[in-house]
Amino acid sequence: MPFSTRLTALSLVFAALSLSPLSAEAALGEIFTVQETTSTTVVRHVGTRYQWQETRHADGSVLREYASHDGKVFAIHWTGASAPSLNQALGQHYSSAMQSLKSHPHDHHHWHVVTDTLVVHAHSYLRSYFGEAYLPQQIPAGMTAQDLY
Amino acid sequence: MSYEKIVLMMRVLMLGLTVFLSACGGGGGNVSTGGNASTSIPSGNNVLPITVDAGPNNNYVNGAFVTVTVCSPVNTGQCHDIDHVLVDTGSIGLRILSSELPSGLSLPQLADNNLVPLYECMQFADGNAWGSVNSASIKLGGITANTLPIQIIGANTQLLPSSCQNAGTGKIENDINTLDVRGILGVGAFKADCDANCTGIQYFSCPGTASSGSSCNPVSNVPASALVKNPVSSLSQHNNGMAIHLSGIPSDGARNVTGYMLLGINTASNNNLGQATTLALDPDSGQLLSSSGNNHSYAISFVDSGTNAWEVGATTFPTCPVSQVGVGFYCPASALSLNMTMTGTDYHQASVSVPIANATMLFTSSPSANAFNNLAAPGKDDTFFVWGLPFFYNRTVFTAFEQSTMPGTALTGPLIGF
Repeated sequence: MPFSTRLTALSLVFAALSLSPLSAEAALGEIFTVQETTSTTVVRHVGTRYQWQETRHADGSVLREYASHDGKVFAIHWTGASAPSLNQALGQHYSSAMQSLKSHPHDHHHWHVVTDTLVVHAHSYLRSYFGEAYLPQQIPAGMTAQDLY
Repeated sequence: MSYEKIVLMMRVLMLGLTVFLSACGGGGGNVSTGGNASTSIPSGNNVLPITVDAGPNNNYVNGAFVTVTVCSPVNTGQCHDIDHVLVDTGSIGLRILSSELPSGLSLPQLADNNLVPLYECMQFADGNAWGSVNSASIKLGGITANTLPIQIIGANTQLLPSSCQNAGTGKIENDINTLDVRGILGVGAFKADCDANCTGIQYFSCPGTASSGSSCNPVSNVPASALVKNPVSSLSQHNNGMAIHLSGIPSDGARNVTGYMLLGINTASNNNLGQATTLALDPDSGQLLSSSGNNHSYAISFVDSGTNAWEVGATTFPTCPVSQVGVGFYCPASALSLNMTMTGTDYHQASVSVPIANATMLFTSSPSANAFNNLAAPGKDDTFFVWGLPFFYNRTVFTAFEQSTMPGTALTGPLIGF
């Protein structure tokens, strides 16, 4: 059963306005923040073991950030017609991910980083981009990356 | 790779092994000494030979390559052959590195509605290719596509906008060292690489030409005539779809593999669907309805010759350790096979066996091999399964394009068949 069905403690829609919606600007390993932009919608859910914040862009692409209760982001998921800036979304882990991208076998439609401290799976197909990145050591006790939805 | 000595030793050892394996049958392929797997190429002007080899940088695994002839649409007879163009059913359009085109080949640049020169930032999973959108005539086999938009990767890189620079990984793939192929032949089920929902970071108009610092503006209303097009759907005939066939290969891989692309479906004596099972694809995403097996139903699944492995989400088998050559792929303790079922959006189903071997063992024991039918990598999560290039070995896989019909059938694309 998807873990999200148990995320019922609190559910907040921060903004769905076209004039001054909000954008999640946190990065992996950093604290959730919310900033105003012109073309995004942010939804936040707070569950018993973690919380997540979802940014929907005008082109329909979605970036979801998962954080522990202290607000520190330990995983991100993306899907849609464009991929997020990983420089921004991976934060301090961007340079090591790019180093791995150079040294790992990959092709134009997928690449993977699997280390003890960072996991990235990124894919593209036709007009869609999919990916996830997480910090294995930061995932809350008692769950795995597969429990995130 | 600096495996030469090991390679020599392995080749001697493999001499006996590959003869034995070929005797076991590659099902339609002949594996010769040296680990090459070949298949007989059908005759016809709608046939394009395919080679799976190490690619132009000697570093590619499971890349299917063709030679494409690019001709000037304005100077008749001015043509240039480009080898090692990747056959990619996971993208749309022909993209050629500018460094591969002779300077005299006249390919006029296209423009937006305000007649400002048009450029494209093509995002792939691993990086972004920037270049101009130009008009070209293309020859595939003996068939021509007259005057279609293509991307010339690496043209006017000084104009690269920051939004392209920052998208995705931010790795810019504008030359042979970063792209690893001379071009990409995107022949997925769509007819153009964007539609009415084109995002703001794909097409750009740039008023400047050569001077640095010129500002480019995102274009969302690209004229339909200027969108980069599927070269096969743009052909003068045999344009309703195509098929890819690759020779069968043994479980320890093959060095070079031959195959072919058949242009058109049910349009000639050599490209008939016959008894193939057809599965309809979602007209918006080009994806299957689902793929199931491995105790999961994968909601995101698709067939993609441009992905070099089976990609399987949510497995219990481990990925290869970072210190090993298979890093990034799966390394199960012993080879295994998944019984998978593909379901199309028309609820047609097909069963496919998916062999998965230990990638580090494959690369170590067959260091000269460039083709593996049992190479697998993780998927994004347990919603994700990709039928990558391994699916094409020992199969003929048809892709019918959107809004295209197949003579003699009631079928309409997008669909796949095999």
